[in-house]
Amino acid sequence: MSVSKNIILFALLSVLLIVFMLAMQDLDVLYNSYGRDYYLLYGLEETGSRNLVSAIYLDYRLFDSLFEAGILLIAVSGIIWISKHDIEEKNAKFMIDKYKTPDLFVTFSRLVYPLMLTFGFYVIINGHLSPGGGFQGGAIVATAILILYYIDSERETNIGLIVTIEKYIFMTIIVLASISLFTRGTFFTNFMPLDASLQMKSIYLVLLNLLIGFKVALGLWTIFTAFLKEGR
Amino acid sequence: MIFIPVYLVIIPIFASLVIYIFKNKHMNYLALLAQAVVTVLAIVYYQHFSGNFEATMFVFGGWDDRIGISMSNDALSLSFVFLTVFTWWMVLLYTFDKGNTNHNFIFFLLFLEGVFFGILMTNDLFNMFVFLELAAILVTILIAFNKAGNSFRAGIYYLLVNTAGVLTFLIGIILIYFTFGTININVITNLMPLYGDELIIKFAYVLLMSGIAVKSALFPVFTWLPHAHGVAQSAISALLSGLIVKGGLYLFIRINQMYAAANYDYYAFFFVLGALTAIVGVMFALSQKDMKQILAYHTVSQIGIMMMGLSSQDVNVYYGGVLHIFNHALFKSLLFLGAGVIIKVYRTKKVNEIRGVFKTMPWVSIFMIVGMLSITGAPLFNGFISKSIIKYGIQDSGIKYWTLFIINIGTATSFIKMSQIFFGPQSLSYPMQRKLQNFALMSIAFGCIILGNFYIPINQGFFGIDLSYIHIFEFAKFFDYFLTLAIGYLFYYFIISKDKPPIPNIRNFSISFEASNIIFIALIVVMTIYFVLL
Amino acid sequence: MGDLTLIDASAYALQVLLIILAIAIVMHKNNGTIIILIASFSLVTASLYVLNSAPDVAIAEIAINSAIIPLIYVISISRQREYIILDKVNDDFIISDNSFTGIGYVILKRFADFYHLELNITNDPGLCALGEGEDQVLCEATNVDLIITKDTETNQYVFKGKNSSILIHKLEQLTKDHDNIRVVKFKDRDVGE
Repeated sequence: MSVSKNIILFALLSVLLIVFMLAMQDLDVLYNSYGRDYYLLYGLEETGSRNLVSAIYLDYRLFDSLFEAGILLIAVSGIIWISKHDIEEKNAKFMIDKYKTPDLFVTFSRLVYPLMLTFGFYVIINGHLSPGGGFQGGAIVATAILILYYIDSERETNIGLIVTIEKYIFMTIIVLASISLFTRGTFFTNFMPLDASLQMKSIYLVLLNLLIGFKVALGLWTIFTAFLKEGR
Repeated sequence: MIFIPVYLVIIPIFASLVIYIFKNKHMNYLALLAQAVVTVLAIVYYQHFSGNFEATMFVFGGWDDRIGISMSNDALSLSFVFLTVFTWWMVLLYTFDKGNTNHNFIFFLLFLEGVFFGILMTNDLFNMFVFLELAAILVTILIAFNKAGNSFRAGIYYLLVNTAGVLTFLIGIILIYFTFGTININVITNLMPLYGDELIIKFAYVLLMSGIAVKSALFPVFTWLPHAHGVAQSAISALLSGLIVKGGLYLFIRINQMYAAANYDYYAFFFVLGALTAIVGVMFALSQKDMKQILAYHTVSQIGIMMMGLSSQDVNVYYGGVLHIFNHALFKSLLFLGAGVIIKVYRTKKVNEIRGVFKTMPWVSIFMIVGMLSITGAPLFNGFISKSIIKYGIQDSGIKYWTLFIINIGTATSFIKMSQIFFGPQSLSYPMQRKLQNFALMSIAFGCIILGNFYIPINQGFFGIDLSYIHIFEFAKFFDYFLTLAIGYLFYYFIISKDKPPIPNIRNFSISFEASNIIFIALIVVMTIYFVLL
Repeated sequence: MGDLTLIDASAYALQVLLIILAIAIVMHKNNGTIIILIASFSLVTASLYVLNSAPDVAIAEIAINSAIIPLIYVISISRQREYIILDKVNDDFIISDNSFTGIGYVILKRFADFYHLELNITNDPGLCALGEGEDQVLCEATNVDLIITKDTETNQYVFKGKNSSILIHKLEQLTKDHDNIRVVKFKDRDVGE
């Protein structure tokens, strides 16, 4: 970029920064803590989750989370569609893999892989008690599965099957969230009644966290495989 | 009954997932079935709640309405819902080829329908953001559906520019949440008098409006629109121009309703922005030779006219802008779908190479002519109604009136230039007449004509607005129209058809991606200075 | 600056570090360095999240931005560095006696070294069997960057590639002086309706 463009950009951004800082000055006075107070007071009893962030995205604002999961689904489907080539990939075996993973890395990955997998599942299942949850745990499980590619770079993965499973999981999540229409009379919330005990409510939370975790892990795995397979 | 909005959102998404999983050709009919169910539900919902729109709001999970997500509807959103249902019917019929339609295409298309219903009916700012982002990704995939080189570039350009806008929107939402403690639009509307004058809320308004400006293709951030239209399939161009871009204008209306109590003086600023958009759009449209690019730039200029209408304090002119949104959705999708048929048969997009359309495919030509008459504002067609309302409302101010007149002349010129494709002998045979395509085109053309003639009862019944001051059959109106056409023809004959510079320079003018980013930031800064500091 | 606790001070220091990292990412040219800087950017951001009492967000940020995104970038960059050439010529322009000694190879190697690319030359028989007219389709459908054929009438070697790639233009400039090499650029076709 030329110097004049740099200067213009810098001037524009600094104007924005100054206005932003001016606006933030009376933040302490203006800060409205209605939301925060409500969640602190009622979050645990109403949703059965000690982790209030999980309470928010699994119960109060489940509708948002459904479509966040939907974003991942669409991104995966889009990448799969765009990276499909029409010429038979069997003919295109001309790319020689020039890089061979060092043995030290392979051994270390073999050690670490079960630990990562277990930790990922721990984060998913304990999402409602400690920081974590479906999305975070799913990302960790996906990282664990990706380590396998470094151990064995010739792995064959059936992308079609994984994407189909992912879509089934998405539909299951929607169905599970809609069960509350029959038990509580309204959509997209916990299907246990409001006065059930905390343990009963957490069944729903664990179930939903598991499904979301699987979905995220499968989605990220598919994205990575599509990139790896590009042009092979 | 009150949960019908949820069904409207979920049913297309479910149908699309089922179609994708069972990659069966017969499953494609499920798309039509889902669409029919959605239509019935929308009609039932309207009949139940018309006149009683306050009762449509509900909160998911039954939580406190400042904590949970809520959905609500009113006359505006329901009319948009009907427009969406109609447009999606047309696109589905147009692209439906028995046994040959790609199931991936239907998957993305139906998913987009569900998401768009969500944008229209939600009452929660962060929910709106999630849907906007999802819509951006879906439209990107649909634009790049051909998987060729320039499809990718246009798709990624669209994605990056739109994501920048949507992220700015998110920052605005964060600032609002800090101050109000809630992101329920109804609650914020009620609480706005308390905080409307704070600097932080004004800055939030600027950020929200910048995001919306990107989505609605206003000047100067409209450059993604022609890029996207040049490479997308005609059905996707019709959807994009006809409906998705109007989603941005719908958000404009909603955010301004939310900020109504704060009484910002946004009218002049957005009128100027709209006028600039319209003039620049027409200017670029006159210099193009590619049929779809011409239509794309006309979308930009008509959005400018809509913005001129929506940013007015006069209720009638405002309503003219809203009405123009619907009319434009109809005739622009008609033009794009017709252009798609023509391009497919003639295998070229250049206007000066296509001749003899009227003799080759008479029905398609008639529908295209209906579309062209509508967009230039001929009496008896629906474009006339909305343009007259706006003209009638701004006739007091000289400069505004002449601006609109010049834009109309530009539009007329450009469509006279495009109408040369109809003349000439029959050059190609038109082997595969797809009945469904013709049916779709015919339905939209009928829609244009009906809305152009029966406007008084329709608007009275749906919106409660009295339009009896617009008369079609006055001699002055016809004279006005033919005068515009005549000036347009002269302008075309003497100036445009010679194609001297600067016209080719305008045609080849393009903004690089980094320049468009700088322009976007400059827009935010200009708005900040205008709204916050002045 | 009266009551500046340790947490506030470290938060400020981390934010300054964030700005420095952001400027460094924009100004560096080497892709490998940029990946490492992005991963460290996300680590600093995650620490800021923890300091602001948001551990959930920190876990998500690290898992995605520090682990998965650099992996994807590494794969993309290593693919980008490869310049795939399909050699349809049967004489010793590039390959003779199964080793790379031809004149063409020297030119291409110079070109690749100058732009930090990895040459990947193949003469896969399955793809060579496709006819002349299929070359453009081959370039578009797979990720072959360059196809080398021989024009038997003029005895010239033809380098074919996509017009949209900057590298083909640089190659054209490099081979301007060689009379027996001609560069053909495929324009992007207008697709769709």
